[in-house]
Order: sequence, then C-alpha cells, then structure tokens
Amino acid sequence: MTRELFDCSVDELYQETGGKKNNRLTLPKEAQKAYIVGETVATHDLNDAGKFDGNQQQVNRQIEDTVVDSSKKVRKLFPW
Amino acid sequence: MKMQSLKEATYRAWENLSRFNGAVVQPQTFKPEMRQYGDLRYKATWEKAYAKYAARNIHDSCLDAYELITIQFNTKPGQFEYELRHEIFEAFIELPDGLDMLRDGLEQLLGQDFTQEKRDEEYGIFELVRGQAGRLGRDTVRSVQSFIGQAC
Repeated sequence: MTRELFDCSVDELYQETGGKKNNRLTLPKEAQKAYIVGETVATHDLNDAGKFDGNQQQVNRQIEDTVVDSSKKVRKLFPW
Repeated sequence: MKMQSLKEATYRAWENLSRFNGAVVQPQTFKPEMRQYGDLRYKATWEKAYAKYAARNIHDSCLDAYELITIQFNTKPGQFEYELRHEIFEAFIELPDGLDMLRDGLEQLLGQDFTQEKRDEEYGIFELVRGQAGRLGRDTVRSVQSFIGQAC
C-alpha cells in the first residue's frame, strides 16, 4: 500500500518525513489519513470481492492485487 | 508443504520485495539469486530462500512495529507461513534491527491504547520464542528472551 500511496518504500517515507520508524503515529497527519482511507477502502473492496477461489497462494495474490488497486484509487484523493 | 507451492510462494515473496523497494522485477534473475541458498533440487533450499524473503518483506513493509507481534509472528495452523514460522523468525532476527523492531512492537502493544484482547496476541511471539529452544543455540534463545523481556 505504501508504494501505491506515496511512491516510496516504508523506510523512505519515515526518513523523508522525519517520523520515528515503525510507528505511524509519528508520520505527518496527512500520511496517517491516507493510510486510514487506504485501509478502509481496501477492507471494503475485499468484502465486496467475497471469497477468492484457489489455493492459499492464489488467494494471497488476489488479496494483494485487490489492495494494490484500492490503494491506487485512494492515491487520487490526495494532493501529492 | 508441496514443493510447487513453496516455489511459487518464494517467487511471490521475491517479487514483492522488489516491488516494495521500487525495483524493476527481472524474472530471469530469480533462479540465479535462489542458487545462493543451495541446490534448487532440494526442498530445504527453497525453505531457506522463502524464509529469507518472507523475513525481508515483513521487515521492509513494517509500518507499525506492534503488527509484528499481533499479525506477522502470530501465525496460526493452516496459514501458509505457519509451517515455516521458525525459519522466518530466525531470518528476521538476523536482520540488523530485527530485534529492535520486535522490542518496539512489544512496547507499543503494552504502552499504547490497545484492548486486552489485542494485547493477548503477544502470546504468539512468546510461544514462537519458546519453540526456538533446540533450534537456535541456548545462549541465542536466552538473549532473545531477555531482549524481548526488557520491553515487557
């Protein structure tokens, strides 16, 4: 989700914003908001998608792809 | 765990690691990279490779350290990662700040406003560390326990 929302890695996000690693509460409020919206939309999209078929690897892949798509949608809502 | 599933999972973990870090995925480099973990005909090679990439993924995608405790190292029977949880844990604590991240995770879980139910999920990692006895050297297990214990 971080890559899609901010076009950087988690590590880079903490470094660039001056946050304390491994604690999102230290990120700028706008970044925290983006994660909240991203996670909400991804949860909603996963619920809408229902049950995925296939073995666990295939299911994992479908979940990851859904989260990537949700994050791309959310990115458009923010000014960066 | 079937060999084919293990290979697929390893590929996915390798691919995700590249994606997280903004690198272009070059499928032709996958097998040569895997050979550093041993002979590709053996399952043990793929288990080792999977554990390394899974651990790096957990590390590099970690937004909140407490999720290491409540999710990543709290796997349950039936989850793909559960079978290789010890190998993944060992690969994680070998990373330079792996132990620091675990300690941060416990500190967050105990220090922030979490429900008791959420806090109870920390037992997963205690079980995991206890299960390390006999796998890692006794001194290593003690140092992990002591290090994590400082956070509690």
